[in-house]
Amino acid sequence: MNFKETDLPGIGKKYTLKLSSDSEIAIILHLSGKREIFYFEDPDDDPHFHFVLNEEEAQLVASVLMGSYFKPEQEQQKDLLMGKLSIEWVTVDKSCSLVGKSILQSQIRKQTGVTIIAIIRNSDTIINPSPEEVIQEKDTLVVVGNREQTKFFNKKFEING
Amino acid sequence: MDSIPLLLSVGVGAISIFLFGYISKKIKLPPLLFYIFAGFLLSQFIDFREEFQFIAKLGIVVLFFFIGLEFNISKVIEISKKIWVIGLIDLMLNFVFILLLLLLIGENFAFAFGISSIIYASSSSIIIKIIVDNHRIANPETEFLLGVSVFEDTIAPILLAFSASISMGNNISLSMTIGIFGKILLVLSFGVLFAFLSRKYLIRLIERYLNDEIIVALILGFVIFSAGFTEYLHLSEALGAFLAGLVIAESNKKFEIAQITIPIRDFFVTFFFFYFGINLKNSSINDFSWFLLIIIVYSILTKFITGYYGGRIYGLSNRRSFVSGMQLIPRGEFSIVLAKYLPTLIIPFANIYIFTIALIGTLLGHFSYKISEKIYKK
Repeated sequence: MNFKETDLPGIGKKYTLKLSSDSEIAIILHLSGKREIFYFEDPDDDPHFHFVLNEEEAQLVASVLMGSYFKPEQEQQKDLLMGKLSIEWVTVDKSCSLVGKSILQSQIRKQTGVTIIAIIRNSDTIINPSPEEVIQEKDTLVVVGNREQTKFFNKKFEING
Repeated sequence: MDSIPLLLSVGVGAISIFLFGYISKKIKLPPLLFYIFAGFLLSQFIDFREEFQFIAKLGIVVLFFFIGLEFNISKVIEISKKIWVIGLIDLMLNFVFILLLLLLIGENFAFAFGISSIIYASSSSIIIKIIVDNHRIANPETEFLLGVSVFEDTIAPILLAFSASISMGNNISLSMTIGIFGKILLVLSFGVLFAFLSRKYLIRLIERYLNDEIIVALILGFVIFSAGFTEYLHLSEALGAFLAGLVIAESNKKFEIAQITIPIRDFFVTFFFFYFGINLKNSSINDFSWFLLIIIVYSILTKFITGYYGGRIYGLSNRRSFVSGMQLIPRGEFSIVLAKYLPTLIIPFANIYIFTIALIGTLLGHFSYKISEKIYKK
Protein backbone atom coordinates (compact mmCIF):
# COMPACT_ATOMS: atom_id res chain seq x y z
CA MET A 1 0.00 0.00 0.00
CA ASN A 2 1.37 3.38 -1.02
CA PHE A 3 0.30 6.10 1.41
CA LYS A 4 1.83 9.56 1.65
CA GLU A 5 1.30 12.63 3.78
CA THR A 6 2.29 16.05 2.44
CA ASP A 7 2.02 19.56 3.82
CA LEU A 8 0.36 22.15 1.63
CA PRO A 9 1.34 25.52 3.15
CA GLY A 10 -1.62 27.88 3.15
CA ILE A 11 -4.12 25.13 2.41
CA GLY A 12 -3.70 22.26 4.86
CA LYS A 13 -2.57 18.67 4.63
CA LYS A 14 -2.73 16.21 1.78
CA TYR A 15 -2.96 12.43 2.12
CA THR A 16 -2.45 10.40 -1.03
CA LEU A 17 -3.30 6.76 -1.38
CA LYS A 18 -2.42 4.70 -4.43
CA LEU A 19 -5.13 2.09 -4.92
CA SER A 20 -4.58 -1.45 -6.09
CA SER A 21 -6.37 -0.52 -9.32
CA ASP A 22 -3.54 1.97 -10.12
CA SER A 23 -5.87 4.88 -9.59
CA GLU A 24 -5.25 7.30 -6.77
CA ILE A 25 -7.26 9.12 -4.15
CA ALA A 26 -6.13 12.24 -2.36
CA ILE A 27 -7.74 13.62 0.78
CA ILE A 28 -7.18 17.27 1.63
CA LEU A 29 -7.62 18.44 5.20
CA HIS A 30 -8.28 22.15 4.84
CA LEU A 31 -7.18 24.58 7.55
CA SER A 32 -10.84 25.53 7.83
CA GLY A 33 -11.66 21.96 8.87
CA LYS A 34 -13.46 20.85 5.72
CA ARG A 35 -12.29 17.74 3.92
CA GLU A 36 -12.00 17.47 0.16
CA ILE A 37 -11.58 14.15 -1.61
CA PHE A 38 -10.15 13.85 -5.10
CA TYR A 39 -10.19 10.80 -7.31
CA PHE A 40 -7.51 10.38 -9.99
CA GLU A 41 -8.29 7.64 -12.46
CA ASP A 42 -4.90 8.30 -13.98
CA PRO A 43 -2.48 9.96 -11.51
CA ASP A 44 -0.80 11.82 -14.38
CA ASP A 45 -4.05 13.47 -15.31
CA ASP A 46 -6.29 16.02 -13.63
CA PRO A 47 -8.70 14.64 -11.03
CA HIS A 48 -11.73 12.74 -12.31
CA PHE A 49 -14.06 14.09 -9.65
CA HIS A 50 -13.94 15.60 -6.20
CA PHE A 51 -16.29 16.32 -3.35
CA VAL A 52 -16.32 18.20 -0.06
CA LEU A 53 -17.31 16.94 3.39
CA ASN A 54 -17.74 18.95 6.55
CA GLU A 55 -16.21 17.68 9.77
CA GLU A 56 -19.32 15.87 10.96
CA GLU A 57 -19.97 14.17 7.63
CA ALA A 58 -16.33 13.16 7.38
CA GLN A 59 -16.41 11.52 10.80
CA LEU A 60 -19.56 9.58 9.94
CA VAL A 61 -18.10 8.38 6.65
CA ALA A 62 -14.87 7.46 8.40
CA SER A 63 -16.59 5.31 10.97
CA VAL A 64 -18.67 3.56 8.30
CA LEU A 65 -15.49 2.82 6.35
CA MET A 66 -13.82 1.51 9.48
CA GLY A 67 -16.70 -0.90 9.91
CA SER A 68 -17.37 0.42 13.38
CA TYR A 69 -20.78 1.94 12.87
CA PHE A 70 -22.91 -0.13 15.20
CA LYS A 71 -25.57 0.47 17.74
CA PRO A 72 -26.39 -1.59 20.84
CA GLU A 73 -29.06 -4.09 19.85
CA GLN A 74 -29.98 -5.81 23.09
CA GLU A 75 -29.14 -5.42 26.72
CA GLN A 76 -27.69 -8.93 26.91
CA GLN A 77 -25.13 -8.13 24.25
CA LYS A 78 -23.82 -5.31 26.36
CA ASP A 79 -20.37 -6.78 26.63
CA LEU A 80 -18.58 -7.82 23.49
CA LEU A 81 -15.50 -9.76 24.21
CA MET A 82 -13.23 -10.51 21.32
CA GLY A 83 -10.01 -11.94 22.57
CA LYS A 84 -8.53 -9.28 24.76
CA LEU A 85 -10.56 -6.46 23.27
CA SER A 86 -13.57 -5.36 25.20
CA ILE A 87 -16.30 -3.00 24.08
CA GLU A 88 -18.71 -1.87 26.75
CA TRP A 89 -21.79 0.27 26.90
CA VAL A 90 -21.91 2.04 30.23
CA THR A 91 -24.49 4.51 31.46
CA VAL A 92 -23.25 7.29 33.71
CA ASP A 93 -25.40 8.45 36.61
CA LYS A 94 -25.24 11.44 38.90
CA SER A 95 -22.63 9.99 41.22
CA CYS A 96 -20.14 9.42 38.43
CA SER A 97 -17.23 11.84 38.49
CA LEU A 98 -17.20 12.17 34.71
CA VAL A 99 -20.46 14.12 34.60
CA GLY A 100 -20.11 17.76 33.69
CA LYS A 101 -16.56 17.44 32.44
CA SER A 102 -15.17 17.08 28.96
CA ILE A 103 -13.38 13.92 27.90
CA LEU A 104 -10.15 15.91 27.80
CA GLN A 105 -10.60 17.32 31.30
CA SER A 106 -11.15 13.88 32.79
CA GLN A 107 -8.03 12.63 30.95
CA ILE A 108 -9.83 9.37 30.34
CA ARG A 109 -7.35 7.83 27.94
CA LYS A 110 -4.30 9.01 29.81
CA GLN A 111 -5.54 7.69 33.13
CA THR A 112 -7.21 4.43 32.17
CA GLY A 113 -6.12 3.58 28.64
CA VAL A 114 -9.66 3.23 27.30
CA THR A 115 -11.09 5.23 24.42
CA ILE A 116 -14.63 6.50 24.14
CA ILE A 117 -15.70 5.80 20.59
CA ALA A 118 -19.28 7.02 20.88
CA ILE A 119 -21.73 8.70 23.22
CA ILE A 120 -25.43 7.82 23.08
CA ARG A 121 -27.45 10.74 24.40
CA ASN A 122 -31.24 10.40 24.35
CA SER A 123 -31.79 9.21 20.78
CA ASP A 124 -28.62 10.79 19.34
CA THR A 125 -25.41 8.94 18.76
CA ILE A 126 -22.24 11.01 18.78
CA ILE A 127 -19.74 8.96 16.86
CA ASN A 128 -16.08 9.58 17.65
CA PRO A 129 -16.78 12.44 20.08
CA SER A 130 -14.28 15.28 20.19
CA PRO A 131 -12.11 15.66 23.31
CA GLU A 132 -14.08 18.78 24.19
CA GLU A 133 -17.37 16.88 24.39
CA VAL A 134 -18.84 17.29 27.87
CA ILE A 135 -20.29 14.12 29.36
CA GLN A 136 -23.77 14.50 30.77
CA GLU A 137 -25.90 12.58 33.21
CA LYS A 138 -27.65 9.52 31.68
CA ASP A 139 -25.25 9.41 28.72
CA THR A 140 -24.36 5.95 27.49
CA LEU A 141 -20.65 5.74 26.68
CA VAL A 142 -19.29 3.20 24.23
CA VAL A 143 -15.90 2.35 25.68
CA VAL A 144 -13.09 0.38 24.03
CA GLY A 145 -10.03 -1.05 25.73
CA ASN A 146 -8.71 -4.35 26.98
CA ARG A 147 -10.51 -6.16 29.79
CA GLU A 148 -8.33 -4.75 32.58
CA GLN A 149 -8.58 -1.24 31.24
CA THR A 150 -12.36 -1.16 31.04
CA LYS A 151 -12.59 -2.70 34.49
CA PHE A 152 -10.24 -0.05 35.87
CA PHE A 153 -12.23 2.61 34.05
CA ASN A 154 -15.45 1.47 35.73
CA LYS A 155 -13.82 1.43 39.12
CA LYS A 156 -11.97 4.72 38.78
CA PHE A 157 -14.97 6.76 37.70
CA GLU A 158 -17.49 4.96 39.94
CA ILE A 159 -19.65 3.56 37.21
CA ASN A 160 -22.30 1.17 38.46
CA GLY A 161 -24.22 0.45 35.27
CA MET B 1 -16.07 65.69 -3.21
CA ASP B 2 -16.85 65.63 0.49
CA SER B 3 -15.52 62.69 2.38
CA ILE B 4 -18.24 60.56 3.92
CA PRO B 5 -18.12 59.40 7.57
CA LEU B 6 -15.72 56.55 8.21
CA LEU B 7 -18.29 54.09 9.50
CA LEU B 8 -20.50 54.65 6.48
CA SER B 9 -17.60 54.21 4.06
CA VAL B 10 -16.56 50.93 5.69
CA GLY B 11 -20.12 49.68 5.34
CA VAL B 12 -20.33 50.74 1.71
CA GLY B 13 -16.91 49.15 1.13
CA ALA B 14 -17.88 45.82 2.68
CA ILE B 15 -21.14 45.64 0.74
CA SER B 16 -19.41 46.42 -2.54
CA ILE B 17 -16.78 43.78 -1.74
CA PHE B 18 -19.60 41.32 -1.29
CA LEU B 19 -21.31 42.34 -4.53
CA PHE B 20 -18.14 42.17 -6.61
CA GLY B 21 -17.17 38.91 -4.96
CA TYR B 22 -20.60 37.56 -5.80
CA ILE B 23 -20.18 38.52 -9.45
CA SER B 24 -16.75 36.85 -9.53
CA LYS B 25 -18.31 33.62 -8.25
CA LYS B 26 -21.01 33.78 -10.92
CA ILE B 27 -18.57 34.24 -13.76
CA LYS B 28 -16.07 31.89 -12.12
CA LEU B 29 -13.06 34.20 -12.02
CA PRO B 30 -10.74 34.74 -9.03
CA PRO B 31 -12.34 37.27 -6.64
CA LEU B 32 -9.18 39.15 -5.56
CA LEU B 33 -9.15 41.21 -8.74
CA PHE B 34 -12.78 42.04 -8.23
CA TYR B 35 -12.10 43.45 -4.77
CA ILE B 36 -9.54 45.72 -6.42
CA PHE B 37 -12.09 46.70 -9.10
CA ALA B 38 -14.62 47.45 -6.37
CA GLY B 39 -12.18 49.79 -4.63
CA PHE B 40 -11.24 51.51 -7.85
CA LEU B 41 -14.85 51.96 -8.95
CA LEU B 42 -16.03 53.31 -5.60
CA SER B 43 -13.10 55.71 -5.36
CA GLN B 44 -14.53 57.48 -8.40
CA PHE B 45 -17.67 58.40 -6.44
CA ILE B 46 -16.65 58.42 -2.82
CA ASP B 47 -13.79 60.23 -1.18
CA PHE B 48 -12.44 57.78 1.37
CA ARG B 49 -10.96 59.28 4.50
CA GLU B 50 -7.38 58.82 5.55
CA GLU B 51 -8.52 56.66 8.47
CA PHE B 52 -9.73 54.07 6.02
CA GLN B 53 -6.12 53.16 5.50
CA PHE B 54 -6.02 51.69 9.00
CA ILE B 55 -8.35 48.85 8.06
CA ALA B 56 -6.16 48.01 5.08
CA LYS B 57 -3.17 48.05 7.41
CA LEU B 58 -4.85 45.51 9.69
CA GLY B 59 -5.33 43.51 6.50
CA ILE B 60 -1.57 43.53 5.91
CA VAL B 61 -0.95 42.48 9.51
CA VAL B 62 -3.40 39.56 9.42
CA LEU B 63 -2.20 38.49 5.97
CA PHE B 64 1.43 38.29 7.04
CA PHE B 65 0.46 36.60 10.26
CA PHE B 66 -1.06 33.81 8.17
CA ILE B 67 2.05 33.60 6.01
CA GLY B 68 4.12 33.21 9.17
CA LEU B 69 1.67 30.64 10.49
CA GLU B 70 2.72 28.34 7.66
CA PHE B 71 6.31 28.52 8.85
CA ASN B 72 6.93 25.65 11.12
CA ILE B 73 10.71 25.97 11.12
CA SER B 74 11.48 22.27 10.77
CA LYS B 75 8.86 22.04 8.03
CA VAL B 76 10.39 24.93 6.13
CA ILE B 77 13.80 23.25 6.25
CA GLU B 78 12.17 20.08 4.92
CA ILE B 79 10.56 21.94 2.02
CA SER B 80 13.69 23.99 1.35
CA LYS B 81 15.74 20.85 0.78
CA LYS B 82 13.64 20.07 -2.27
CA ILE B 83 13.20 23.59 -3.54
CA TRP B 84 16.26 25.71 -2.75
CA VAL B 85 17.92 25.43 -6.15
CA ILE B 86 14.71 26.53 -7.83
CA GLY B 87 14.25 29.23 -5.20
CA LEU B 88 17.69 30.62 -5.98
CA ILE B 89 17.03 30.60 -9.73
CA ASP B 90 13.81 32.47 -8.96
CA LEU B 91 15.67 35.04 -6.85
CA MET B 92 18.37 35.50 -9.49
CA LEU B 93 16.03 35.90 -12.46
CA ASN B 94 13.33 37.95 -10.78
CA PHE B 95 15.32 40.10 -8.41
CA VAL B 96 19.12 40.16 -8.58
CA PHE B 97 19.34 40.29 -12.36
CA ILE B 98 16.92 43.19 -12.77
CA LEU B 99 18.53 45.03 -9.84
CA LEU B 100 21.95 44.85 -11.48
CA LEU B 101 20.49 45.81 -14.85
CA LEU B 102 18.82 48.94 -13.44
CA LEU B 103 21.99 49.94 -11.58
CA LEU B 104 23.99 49.39 -14.74
CA ILE B 105 21.86 51.81 -16.78
CA GLY B 106 22.51 54.39 -14.08
CA GLU B 107 19.33 54.36 -11.98
CA ASN B 108 19.80 55.24 -8.31
CA PHE B 109 19.83 52.48 -5.71
CA ALA B 110 16.48 53.26 -4.01
CA PHE B 111 14.69 53.17 -7.37
CA ALA B 112 16.43 50.04 -8.61
CA PHE B 113 15.95 48.19 -5.34
CA GLY B 114 12.28 49.21 -5.14
CA ILE B 115 11.42 48.16 -8.69
CA SER B 116 13.22 44.81 -8.48
CA SER B 117 11.56 44.08 -5.11
CA ILE B 118 8.03 44.57 -6.44
CA ILE B 119 8.90 42.32 -9.37
CA TYR B 120 10.24 39.53 -7.18
CA ALA B 121 7.53 37.67 -5.27
CA SER B 122 4.59 35.89 -6.86
CA SER B 123 1.28 36.31 -5.08
CA SER B 124 0.60 33.22 -3.01
CA SER B 125 -2.93 34.53 -2.32
CA ILE B 126 -3.75 34.58 -6.02
CA ILE B 127 -1.98 31.27 -6.71
CA ILE B 128 -3.80 29.46 -3.90
CA LYS B 129 -7.13 30.96 -4.93
CA ILE B 130 -6.68 29.75 -8.51
CA ILE B 131 -5.66 26.27 -7.39
CA VAL B 132 -8.57 25.92 -4.97
CA ASP B 133 -11.19 27.33 -7.36
CA ASN B 134 -10.05 25.04 -10.16
CA HIS B 135 -10.10 22.00 -7.85
CA ARG B 136 -6.44 21.25 -8.49
CA ILE B 137 -5.29 21.12 -4.86
CA ALA B 138 -4.37 17.46 -5.02
CA ASN B 139 -2.28 17.78 -8.21
CA PRO B 140 1.50 17.31 -7.91
CA GLU B 141 2.28 20.78 -9.31
CA THR B 142 0.44 22.30 -6.34
CA GLU B 143 3.16 21.02 -3.97
CA PHE B 144 5.79 22.55 -6.21
CA LEU B 145 4.04 25.93 -6.47
CA LEU B 146 3.48 26.15 -2.72
CA GLY B 147 7.12 25.18 -2.15
CA VAL B 148 8.28 28.08 -4.31
CA SER B 149 5.86 30.37 -2.44
CA VAL B 150 7.35 29.29 0.87
CA PHE B 151 10.83 30.10 -0.39
CA GLU B 152 9.73 33.52 -1.59
CA ASP B 153 7.90 34.13 1.67
CA THR B 154 11.20 33.72 3.53
CA ILE B 155 12.99 36.25 1.34
CA ALA B 156 10.20 38.78 0.90
CA PRO B 157 9.74 39.93 4.53
CA ILE B 158 13.46 40.70 4.57
CA LEU B 159 13.17 42.71 1.34
CA LEU B 160 10.18 44.44 2.86
CA ALA B 161 11.95 45.33 6.08
CA PHE B 162 14.92 46.57 4.07
CA SER B 163 12.74 48.73 1.82
CA ALA B 164 10.94 50.19 4.83
CA SER B 165 14.28 51.10 6.35
CA ILE B 166 15.80 52.73 3.31
CA SER B 167 12.62 54.73 2.67
CA MET B 168 13.56 56.65 5.83
CA GLY B 169 16.89 58.00 4.68
CA ASN B 170 18.07 59.43 1.40
CA ASN B 171 21.62 58.28 0.97
CA ILE B 172 22.34 54.63 1.18
CA SER B 173 25.83 53.84 2.31
CA LEU B 174 27.42 50.47 2.87
CA SER B 175 27.55 50.90 6.63
CA MET B 176 23.86 51.79 6.68
CA THR B 177 23.03 48.69 4.64
CA ILE B 178 24.95 46.51 7.05
CA GLY B 179 23.23 48.25 9.96
CA ILE B 180 19.78 47.55 8.54
CA PHE B 181 20.58 43.92 7.86
CA GLY B 182 21.97 43.60 11.38
CA LYS B 183 18.73 45.00 12.78
CA ILE B 184 16.62 42.63 10.69
CA LEU B 185 18.76 39.67 11.71
CA LEU B 186 18.49 40.65 15.37
CA VAL B 187 14.69 40.91 15.22
CA LEU B 188 14.44 37.61 13.32
CA SER B 189 16.62 35.72 15.77
CA PHE B 190 14.76 37.25 18.68
CA GLY B 191 11.51 35.97 17.10
CA VAL B 192 12.87 32.48 16.61
CA LEU B 193 14.35 32.37 20.12
CA PHE B 194 11.07 33.58 21.60
CA ALA B 195 9.24 30.89 19.60
CA PHE B 196 11.33 28.13 21.18
CA LEU B 197 11.22 29.53 24.71
CA SER B 198 7.51 30.30 24.79
CA ARG B 199 6.45 27.12 23.07
CA LYS B 200 5.52 25.14 26.19
CA TYR B 201 3.56 27.96 27.84
CA LEU B 202 1.85 28.90 24.63
CA ILE B 203 0.61 25.37 24.05
CA ARG B 204 -0.77 25.23 27.60
CA LEU B 205 -2.50 28.60 27.28
CA ILE B 206 -4.03 27.79 23.92
CA GLU B 207 -5.22 24.38 25.05
CA ARG B 208 -6.88 25.70 28.17
CA TYR B 209 -8.65 28.69 26.66
CA LEU B 210 -9.25 27.44 23.12
CA ASN B 211 -13.01 27.94 23.21
CA ASP B 212 -12.89 31.13 25.20
CA GLU B 213 -13.22 34.68 23.92
CA ILE B 214 -9.96 35.74 25.57
CA ILE B 215 -7.97 33.55 23.17
CA VAL B 216 -8.89 35.91 20.30
CA ALA B 217 -7.56 38.85 22.30
CA LEU B 218 -4.39 36.92 23.11
CA ILE B 219 -3.66 35.99 19.50
CA LEU B 220 -4.62 39.31 17.92
CA GLY B 221 -2.96 41.27 20.68
CA PHE B 222 0.26 39.38 20.21
CA VAL B 223 0.15 39.74 16.43
CA ILE B 224 -0.73 43.44 16.35
CA PHE B 225 1.76 44.22 19.10
CA SER B 226 4.69 42.63 17.28
CA ALA B 227 3.58 44.29 14.02
CA GLY B 228 3.49 47.62 15.78
CA PHE B 229 6.87 46.98 17.30
CA THR B 230 8.66 46.28 14.00
CA GLU B 231 6.86 49.24 12.44
CA TYR B 232 8.24 51.37 15.24
CA LEU B 233 11.73 50.07 14.37
CA HIS B 234 11.08 51.09 10.73
CA LEU B 235 11.19 47.45 9.64
CA SER B 236 7.57 47.39 8.36
CA GLU B 237 4.56 46.03 10.24
CA ALA B 238 4.59 42.98 7.97
CA LEU B 239 7.81 41.61 9.47
CA GLY B 240 6.43 41.64 13.02
CA ALA B 241 3.15 40.04 11.98
CA PHE B 242 5.11 37.39 10.08
CA LEU B 243 7.24 36.66 13.15
CA ALA B 244 4.15 36.41 15.36
CA GLY B 245 2.75 33.82 12.96
CA LEU B 246 6.05 31.96 13.14
CA VAL B 247 5.91 31.84 16.94
CA ILE B 248 2.34 30.51 16.96
CA ALA B 249 3.21 27.96 14.28
CA GLU B 250 5.86 26.49 16.59
CA SER B 251 3.15 25.72 19.14
CA ASN B 252 1.69 23.10 16.78
CA LYS B 253 -1.76 24.56 17.41
CA LYS B 254 -1.87 25.99 13.90
CA PHE B 255 -5.14 24.34 12.92
CA GLU B 256 -6.97 25.50 16.05
CA ILE B 257 -5.68 29.06 15.79
CA ALA B 258 -6.36 29.22 12.06
CA GLN B 259 -9.97 28.22 12.63
CA ILE B 260 -10.47 31.03 15.13
CA THR B 261 -8.77 33.68 12.99
CA ILE B 262 -9.87 32.79 9.45
CA PRO B 263 -13.03 34.98 9.57
CA ILE B 264 -10.92 37.90 10.81
CA ARG B 265 -8.44 37.36 7.99
CA ASP B 266 -11.15 37.12 5.34
CA PHE B 267 -12.64 40.45 6.40
CA PHE B 268 -9.48 42.52 6.67
CA VAL B 269 -7.57 41.01 3.76
CA THR B 270 -10.38 41.72 1.31
CA PHE B 271 -10.24 45.32 2.54
CA PHE B 272 -6.51 45.34 1.89
CA PHE B 273 -7.09 44.56 -1.79
CA PHE B 274 -10.04 46.94 -1.89
CA TYR B 275 -7.85 49.72 -0.55
CA PHE B 276 -5.27 49.02 -3.22
CA GLY B 277 -8.08 49.63 -5.73
CA ILE B 278 -8.82 52.99 -4.10
CA ASN B 279 -5.17 53.97 -4.41
CA LEU B 280 -5.18 53.24 -8.11
CA LYS B 281 -7.09 56.46 -8.70
CA ASN B 282 -3.82 58.31 -8.13
CA SER B 283 -2.34 56.58 -11.13
CA SER B 284 -3.19 57.83 -14.57
CA ILE B 285 -2.84 56.61 -18.09
CA ASN B 286 0.24 58.86 -18.34
CA ASP B 287 2.05 56.42 -16.12
CA PHE B 288 2.03 53.96 -19.01
CA SER B 289 5.35 53.97 -20.72
CA TRP B 290 7.78 51.87 -22.66
CA PHE B 291 9.55 51.16 -19.41
CA LEU B 292 6.37 49.77 -17.88
CA LEU B 293 5.73 47.59 -20.92
CA ILE B 294 9.28 46.25 -20.82
CA ILE B 295 9.21 45.29 -17.16
CA ILE B 296 5.78 43.68 -17.56
CA VAL B 297 6.98 41.52 -20.43
CA TYR B 298 10.21 40.80 -18.57
CA SER B 299 8.44 39.76 -15.39
CA ILE B 300 6.02 37.50 -17.26
CA LEU B 301 8.85 35.76 -19.10
CA THR B 302 11.19 35.26 -16.16
CA LYS B 303 8.49 33.86 -13.90
CA PHE B 304 7.32 31.53 -16.62
CA ILE B 305 10.88 30.32 -17.14
CA THR B 306 11.30 29.87 -13.37
CA GLY B 307 8.08 27.87 -13.13
CA TYR B 308 8.63 25.79 -16.23
CA TYR B 309 12.26 24.81 -15.72
CA GLY B 310 11.80 24.68 -11.97
CA GLY B 311 8.95 22.25 -12.51
CA ARG B 312 11.13 20.10 -14.76
CA ILE B 313 13.91 20.07 -12.15
CA TYR B 314 11.34 19.19 -9.49
CA GLY B 315 10.31 16.19 -11.61
CA LEU B 316 6.99 17.34 -13.02
CA SER B 317 5.77 16.40 -16.49
CA ASN B 318 5.94 18.88 -19.36
CA ARG B 319 2.30 19.78 -19.07
CA ARG B 320 2.43 20.31 -15.29
CA SER B 321 5.61 22.39 -15.62
CA PHE B 322 3.85 24.56 -18.19
CA VAL B 323 0.94 25.09 -15.79
CA SER B 324 3.39 25.97 -12.99
CA GLY B 325 5.11 28.54 -15.19
CA MET B 326 1.81 30.26 -15.93
CA GLN B 327 0.65 30.20 -12.33
CA LEU B 328 3.72 31.88 -10.88
CA ILE B 329 3.19 35.02 -12.97
CA PRO B 330 0.76 37.06 -10.81
CA ARG B 331 2.31 39.41 -8.24
CA GLY B 332 0.15 40.74 -5.47
CA GLU B 333 0.22 41.34 -1.73
CA PHE B 334 4.00 41.58 -1.31
CA SER B 335 4.37 44.06 -4.14
CA ILE B 336 1.42 46.11 -2.88
CA VAL B 337 2.88 46.39 0.62
CA LEU B 338 6.32 47.14 -0.79
CA ALA B 339 5.03 49.84 -3.11
CA LYS B 340 4.25 52.19 -0.25
CA TYR B 341 7.96 52.34 0.68
CA LEU B 342 8.99 53.38 -2.81
CA PRO B 343 10.07 56.94 -3.58
CA THR B 344 6.77 58.90 -3.68
CA LEU B 345 7.06 59.81 -7.34
CA ILE B 346 7.08 56.27 -8.64
CA ILE B 347 4.26 54.90 -6.46
CA PRO B 348 1.51 55.53 -9.05
CA PHE B 349 3.67 53.86 -11.65
CA ALA B 350 4.33 50.89 -9.35
CA ASN B 351 0.62 50.52 -8.62
CA ILE B 352 -0.20 50.39 -12.32
CA TYR B 353 2.50 47.77 -12.79
CA ILE B 354 1.19 45.62 -9.91
CA PHE B 355 -2.40 45.87 -11.07
CA THR B 356 -1.50 44.95 -14.65
CA ILE B 357 0.68 42.00 -13.71
CA ALA B 358 -1.91 40.78 -11.18
CA LEU B 359 -4.61 40.96 -13.85
CA ILE B 360 -2.59 39.29 -16.61
CA GLY B 361 -1.17 36.74 -14.18
CA THR B 362 -4.55 35.83 -12.75
CA LEU B 363 -6.02 35.29 -16.20
CA LEU B 364 -3.01 33.28 -17.42
CA GLY B 365 -3.02 31.21 -14.25
CA HIS B 366 -6.74 30.64 -14.37
CA PHE B 367 -6.73 29.45 -17.97
CA SER B 368 -3.40 27.62 -17.73
CA TYR B 369 -5.11 24.26 -17.24
CA LYS B 370 -7.21 24.63 -20.38
CA ILE B 371 -4.34 26.01 -22.43
CA SER B 372 -2.05 23.20 -21.31
CA GLU B 373 -4.62 20.62 -22.41
CA LYS B 374 -4.63 22.17 -25.89
CA ILE B 375 -0.85 22.22 -26.16
CA TYR B 376 -0.09 18.84 -24.64
CA LYS B 377 -2.81 16.77 -26.29
CA LYS B 378 -2.69 13.07 -25.66
